[in-house]
Amino acid sequence: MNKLDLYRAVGEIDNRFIAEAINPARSKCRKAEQPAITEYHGEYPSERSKKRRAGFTKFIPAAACFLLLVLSAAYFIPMFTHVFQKASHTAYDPAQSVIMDAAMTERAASNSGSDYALEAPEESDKFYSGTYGQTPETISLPEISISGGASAVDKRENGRVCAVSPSALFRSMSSFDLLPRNIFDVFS
Amino acid sequence: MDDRELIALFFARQESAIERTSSKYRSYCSKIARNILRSEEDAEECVADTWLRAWNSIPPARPDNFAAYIGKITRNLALNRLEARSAARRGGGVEPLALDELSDILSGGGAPFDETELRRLTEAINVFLQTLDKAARLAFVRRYWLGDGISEIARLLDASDSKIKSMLLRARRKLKKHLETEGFDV
Repeated sequence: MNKLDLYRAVGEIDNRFIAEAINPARSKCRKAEQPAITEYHGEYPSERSKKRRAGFTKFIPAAACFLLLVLSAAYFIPMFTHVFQKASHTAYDPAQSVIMDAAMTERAASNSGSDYALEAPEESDKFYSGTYGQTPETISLPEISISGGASAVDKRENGRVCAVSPSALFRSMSSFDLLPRNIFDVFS
Repeated sequence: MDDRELIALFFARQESAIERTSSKYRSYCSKIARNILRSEEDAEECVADTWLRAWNSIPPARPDNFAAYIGKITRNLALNRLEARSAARRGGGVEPLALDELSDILSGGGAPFDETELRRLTEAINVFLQTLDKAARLAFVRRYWLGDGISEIARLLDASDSKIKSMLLRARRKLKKHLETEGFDV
């Protein structure tokens, strides 16, 4: 088909289509007569873009918060893991540890369930504490705490090993620092 | 002045018919011609020819829609002029944008249609226009018959330019499909 033929054929379309398109009276009434354009989509294009913008305004802060949370987690979790790993490693010195004998373990179990405390050599106010089967941590357990829970404290005669009841251990832990004494070495 | 009164003046062979038609429809016809020819001078000559053609054809013709009738005259004269201009430039003429869009649906050229084929093609386009919804039909006619710009149509329909462009694109695709169904080689 020749394009000029197409142009001419379009030029000869029915007069009512032309009248419909060129009649200014109808054009003025277009909103009443032709609700389809706006009603079909339910809203004007400007309203759609407003909604889109509003969506972005909500989305951007939410995305920023989420990103911040992820970054924080990515930074802090390994840091804390590292700190605690290093702290427990630093606090636990196999050379200074005391292996509890069977009788001591049994007594400690009867007194305190799963908790124990091992006195650090030559430092009467420092103890390794923890749960059986796990690496111990060093805590400060001054006299006042021990005396508070004296009935529950079972101290070995040579002063090296003691078992502490859970209440006494908890009191001492909540009263004093839980962190290893050489915590600052961890950060250095 | 009412269109029926204008036609009556033509039938009475009163020269004031041309003057009055010109004062009422000059801008409308100029717009059609300008949109096709893209030349103010050519459009003016085309509009002047329109009055003469109307004078010669009424009577015997008694158009039921005078605006569409003289619009068609102007459009045909403009297309003739465009064809002559393109031939003079060996096809290197600047094709009007709106019609260029329309010819996108054609894959190639072909021998010119005779009167019968042209009438059949017009009928097929009329049927196609009936299948369009009113807004799409109005956009199609204003763009490819009147030669309106996209923005003008968008203002008229209270829609965005892109909406009108996509509406016209869909209409052109639909026209191509329709013409193929009707057995035209497009």
